[in-house]
Amino acid sequence: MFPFTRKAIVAVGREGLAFLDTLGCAVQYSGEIVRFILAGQFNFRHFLQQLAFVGIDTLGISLIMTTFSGMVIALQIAKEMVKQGAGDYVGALVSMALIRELAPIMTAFAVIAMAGSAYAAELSTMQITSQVSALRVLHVSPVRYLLMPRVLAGIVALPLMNIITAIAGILGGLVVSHLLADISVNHYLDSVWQQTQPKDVWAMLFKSAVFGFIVFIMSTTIGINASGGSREVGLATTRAVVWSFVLMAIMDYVLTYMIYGAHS
Amino acid sequence: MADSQALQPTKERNQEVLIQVQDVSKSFGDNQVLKTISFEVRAHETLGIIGISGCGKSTLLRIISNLETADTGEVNLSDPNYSLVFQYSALFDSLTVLENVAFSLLEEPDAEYAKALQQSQHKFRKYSMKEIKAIVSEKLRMVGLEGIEDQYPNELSGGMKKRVSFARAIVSNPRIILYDEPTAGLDPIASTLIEDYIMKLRDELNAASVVVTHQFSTINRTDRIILLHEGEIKWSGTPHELYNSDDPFARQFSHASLEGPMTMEQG
Repeated sequence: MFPFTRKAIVAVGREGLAFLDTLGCAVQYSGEIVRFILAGQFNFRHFLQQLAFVGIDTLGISLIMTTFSGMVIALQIAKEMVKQGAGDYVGALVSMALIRELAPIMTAFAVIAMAGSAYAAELSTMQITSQVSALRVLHVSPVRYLLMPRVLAGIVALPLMNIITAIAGILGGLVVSHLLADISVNHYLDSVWQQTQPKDVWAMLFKSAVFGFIVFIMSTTIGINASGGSREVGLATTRAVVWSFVLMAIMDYVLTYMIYGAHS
Repeated sequence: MADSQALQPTKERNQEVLIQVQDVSKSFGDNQVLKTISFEVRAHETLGIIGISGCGKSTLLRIISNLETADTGEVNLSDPNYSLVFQYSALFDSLTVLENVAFSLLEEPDAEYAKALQQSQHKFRKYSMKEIKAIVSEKLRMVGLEGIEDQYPNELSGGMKKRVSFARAIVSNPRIILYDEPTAGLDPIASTLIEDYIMKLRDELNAASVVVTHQFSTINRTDRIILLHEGEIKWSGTPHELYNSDDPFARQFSHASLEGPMTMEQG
């Protein structure tokens, strides 16, 4: 029993140290990205390529996830609220849940699963096949060439995707509310319109930009620091997904507390 | 005339030192892989670095090419424009052959390198796509490959990948070219082809070359050899001297013998 416990503690400690090491590298790379932007060393074509990859490839799955999230919320609350005479607030509740929390989270989940994992696998493969070293020998910084366009694409793509996915989720809630609780389309949309505050929308956009940054700086940092063989590609991909989830959950709480305080 | 001149001893042709390695040491944790290594490589000279696996050859090459930093000592390259041909080609698999070869012409280099180029005889400038295609075609022709510009690395054989990586390495006409196991894993004919290219590039670019290798056929084509063991230079000389030396290290290596001071455990 004791050797097993010891091994588990050592494994957790090692993973914790690796996490802190990656965080340190991510901070360093972020600084380098800012330096490259300020120096005007920014390749717009690379940025657009990554923006298209993140946006187009992950929008479909994000839409499915947020649309069903809106439908599930409506399914759980619509009938009960109509019974309680609060049917006018169903749209507001659905939109509030989506805009404040579910749309940014669900979109980020989809992006982690599709683009974050793909980046970690791609960059770790490039690292273990010496392609990253080749970049250095060709005097092109891997941070500038590989990380910067991907991280900036994440920061820009996620808020744009969030606008679309939040609307899709609200419309999903509308369909369920109308079909199952007989709430009229006008009542639902009025409720959404009246209760949605500009602050909520700005907060959603800000949150999703931060999530985009976290997902892509973590995925690319883990990928570019991979070493060893093909097993490491799998490990890097798993780490990128898990650590992005963990950091995103922590940042979600911190940002929500900062924006809405403890009594929202 | 040109051929007979190429056969003359290196020092008679050109005394210009292009690579200077001075007292370089490197450790990874408790393992010291290089111990105060010093040597020079002149223009139009090919230096072979040999030794059993794990003796520090590739680490030394990575330090010369600035992929690793030495713990002590220094490496001076007389020209900022250098290149490295990787053991497994290291072509960018998401880019076509054209984009791979033209990479350093298409992508803006790091500011520090651009500044160093400005101070040297080279200048970084933007090329038109027409010029880039012409340069790439010429370099591919030099390595015996034409008409594959639109193919991706995964569509090429190992030997073709290696030649494309040669073309990428020489696209900016460097005078310092480093090779990491350039003929590893290739058949004897492909190896001869690659060795011919190394000599051809040395002659055409008047380049200083450093070749890390295990292959006797490649060793035979170098001008000078250093034999590394446990991070130290144990022997140096010409290929001819290697095969006729009484030095226990040189003798064991040239005879591929299990008997001698070098053991795989040590390496």
